[in-house]
Amino acid sequence: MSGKAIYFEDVDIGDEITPLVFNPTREMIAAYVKACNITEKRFTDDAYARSLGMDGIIAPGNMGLAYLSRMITDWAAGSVLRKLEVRFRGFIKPGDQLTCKGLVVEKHARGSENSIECDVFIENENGDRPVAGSATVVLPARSLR
Amino acid sequence: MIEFDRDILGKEFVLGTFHVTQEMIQGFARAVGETDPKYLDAEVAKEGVTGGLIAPPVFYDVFRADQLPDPKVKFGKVAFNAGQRCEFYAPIRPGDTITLKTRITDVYEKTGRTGKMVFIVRQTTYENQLGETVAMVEQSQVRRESGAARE
Repeated sequence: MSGKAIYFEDVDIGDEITPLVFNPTREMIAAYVKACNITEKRFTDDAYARSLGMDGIIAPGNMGLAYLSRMITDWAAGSVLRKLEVRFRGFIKPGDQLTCKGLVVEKHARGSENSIECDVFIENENGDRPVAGSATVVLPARSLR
Repeated sequence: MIEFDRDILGKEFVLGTFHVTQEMIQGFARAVGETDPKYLDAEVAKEGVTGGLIAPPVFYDVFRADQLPDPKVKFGKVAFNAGQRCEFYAPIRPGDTITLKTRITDVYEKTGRTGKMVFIVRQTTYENQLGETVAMVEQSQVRRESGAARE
């Protein structure tokens, strides 16, 4: 669901971004691969993925990035994602039970643009984080309404 | 020392120009489960702060070049996306024409617990028909001997 607007003044360091469940299925991965015209077979062909040394198909890393971006939009309607930086430390596979999470770590008021820095990551059921990084998000200000 | 084509470092390559349609944006938004009307519903989006339909930030992933400049690294049997740094300056909208320009900015090696790895760093800019850079993506690709595990 798209959330309600969150204003810069209402956010504190340490606040948690509303988590987003991300349980990728083969169908979801196939839909992403199609929407992005991806031709690499490691995302669609189990036998080919195994020939590369993996257990089977994996999700494109950027699909995780897209879900982190969606987590931010769903949490704060009216926000603008300025920067997203991640490391891919593990594979995202069909059947994984994942959650996108984030935490506000800094607040910056710069002229007319108010932004927050967030730690963002995708976590599996064991607490491992196959995708982890940071995001800069511009939030609307109440004072400028 | 890693063997590769050093002359390619810093050279700019135009990867192509792509026309953006509303269907492409909606298709991408649906594929990642977006529900915000600014990505899906042109009528509703027109009345909102974005003043029309816009693409989700990671939409840049739909632009695929047939061929990327190849630094010809003589190492690794398999390549993976190791990381990404994206900066978004302005939204992409239906009707835009986006030109991709890319440069290889670094090639370096590292030894981790699974052995030697070679990283290739590519910086790509996305420019619209007005000459505005709407996004910059720095992608780090890792080349390894096997895909069995990741660092």
